[in-house]
Amino acid sequence: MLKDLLVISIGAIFIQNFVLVQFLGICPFLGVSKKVETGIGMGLAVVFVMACASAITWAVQQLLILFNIEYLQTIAFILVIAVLVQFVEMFLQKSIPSLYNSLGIYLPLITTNCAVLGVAIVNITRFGGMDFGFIKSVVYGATAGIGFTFAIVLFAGVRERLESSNIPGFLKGMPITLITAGLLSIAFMGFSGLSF
Amino acid sequence: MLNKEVLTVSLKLFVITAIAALCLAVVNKTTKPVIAENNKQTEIRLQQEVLPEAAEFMTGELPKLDNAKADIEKISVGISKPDGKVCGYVVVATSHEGYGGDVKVMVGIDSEFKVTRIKIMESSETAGLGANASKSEFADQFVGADSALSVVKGAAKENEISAIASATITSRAVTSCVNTALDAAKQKGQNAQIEETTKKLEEIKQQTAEQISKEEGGEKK
Amino acid sequence: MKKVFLNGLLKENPTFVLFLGMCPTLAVTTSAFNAVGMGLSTMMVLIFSNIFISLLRKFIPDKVRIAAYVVVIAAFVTIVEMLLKAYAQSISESLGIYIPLIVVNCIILGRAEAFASKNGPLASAVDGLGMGLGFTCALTIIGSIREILGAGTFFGFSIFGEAFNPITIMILPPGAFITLGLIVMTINIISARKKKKEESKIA
Repeated sequence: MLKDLLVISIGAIFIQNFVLVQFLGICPFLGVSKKVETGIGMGLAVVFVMACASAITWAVQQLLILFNIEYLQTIAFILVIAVLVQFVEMFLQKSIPSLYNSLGIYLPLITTNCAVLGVAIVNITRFGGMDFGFIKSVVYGATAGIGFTFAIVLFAGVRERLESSNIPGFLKGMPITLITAGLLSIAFMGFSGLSF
Repeated sequence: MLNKEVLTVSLKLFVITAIAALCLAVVNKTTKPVIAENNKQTEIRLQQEVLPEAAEFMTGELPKLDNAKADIEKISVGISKPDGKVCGYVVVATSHEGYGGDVKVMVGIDSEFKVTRIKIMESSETAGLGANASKSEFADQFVGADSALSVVKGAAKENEISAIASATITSRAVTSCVNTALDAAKQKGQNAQIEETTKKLEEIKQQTAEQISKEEGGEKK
Repeated sequence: MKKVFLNGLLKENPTFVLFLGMCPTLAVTTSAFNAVGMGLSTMMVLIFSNIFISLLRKFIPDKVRIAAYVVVIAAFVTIVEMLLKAYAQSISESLGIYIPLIVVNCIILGRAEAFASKNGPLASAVDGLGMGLGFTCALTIIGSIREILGAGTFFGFSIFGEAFNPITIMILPPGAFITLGLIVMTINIISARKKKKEESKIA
């Protein structure tokens, strides 16, 4: 069991990195990665929401199976995620204001972060529709979020340096950002082939 | 005042959701049988690709293997038509030792326990390198194999498989799937033989018993 | 009406200009076929969700409009998903989990909020068609470039023959970023030249 969890974690963070290998959560990756600080804030918010979303959508999926209405999956999941994000926001605002102040602005953005819905769907479709189990789902959700944080922080570090360097005019902005992301993705490809 | 507003808002949202769910239920009802039929057809088509002789497939119980390097996911017995004889086995095996994750291979095995064809079902191997495993230059090496295979780099001799260039790990994963599939089919075949023999024995026993009882009956008369 | 249509196709192209819906743009463009499948699926969802949101725009309460939009969009995505599974299995198999993820494609929610909630159903449908076609074209361009360079094929047909040694990295994840980056760079260069010409004309 412990070995399984380790394999899942390493896989989610490095080998099947959500952003750079599976292309989930690209919008915030490109949008909120201008500074390392904001990158960390966004990343932590995503880890938190993804772990919670994995736990709750697992329960929702069991309910859907019970009533034999699996086709309502997409609607149910996206609504649950939207409500969850709202709740997390309210909860943080009231009980941990310091955390809310640092994460607050990123939370609403997460609803449309496809990494969150992505992790919910991957959790239930993985291994040919077989049950991934509650604990594994949550661990996968959290570690996929960590992978996202890892990628966005690295990327923000590179972008901060790019700001001050002399780039040809036609490459400024999006083109150089995308090409940098491509190079980072090449680096992450080196992780595939890790085995235990 | 506030409560009333909350009520109408949630009621409206509920109506939208309910209508959406209703629409989905209707679409689901019409497409579900088509999807099920599709999946069934695809499965038969895939199985026939690796074991062309068979016309029908019966899913069997999974055999228990010792020291297997890959997991058996499914084994089905191919039956040819019209004679209804067992003409081979189709085994789906998964190896967890691939380069990018699991490698799932479907192996067709004839009634003499020789590989008829293999098909890579699922793999997350590197495109252009490990993914070349599904190309015929590699996959055809397995055709006709009947005992445990090992992977070598470069030219292959008997019972050896020449690895795909720069993708030895993938080649090994596929080969261990095929080896496990062969073992599984052999075990299944043996079990079937044992079953058949016991069946025959039972039949003979029954026949003799019947004969004896007949003879006894005859004596009484 | 024509302006609305062309707006989505060129001037406000969702992929190359607005950078919306990046996830499917990068993930499924490993081949031209996948790109077209994804583009058309998204377009269908976009047109229908635009029409319905436009029809319901007076019924939907302002406070929960995003939730309501998401429900409508998710319903159409699920319908498209089921139809693809039933009648176009090969597309649904190769696109996998990216079909349900159309729900969170920012293009659709973005158009619902920016256009359909303020305009009539016909204009919204045209807007959906334009945006959808713009998205499909962009995806097809990226998919074709990656497939031709990375696999030596176009829509599955070999075009260079056996001697061609494909640039494998193009169909791997890094290739997606780099291709899109280079396309945007090309667009930047072209538009910069156009601007210069116009400026010199004025002067």
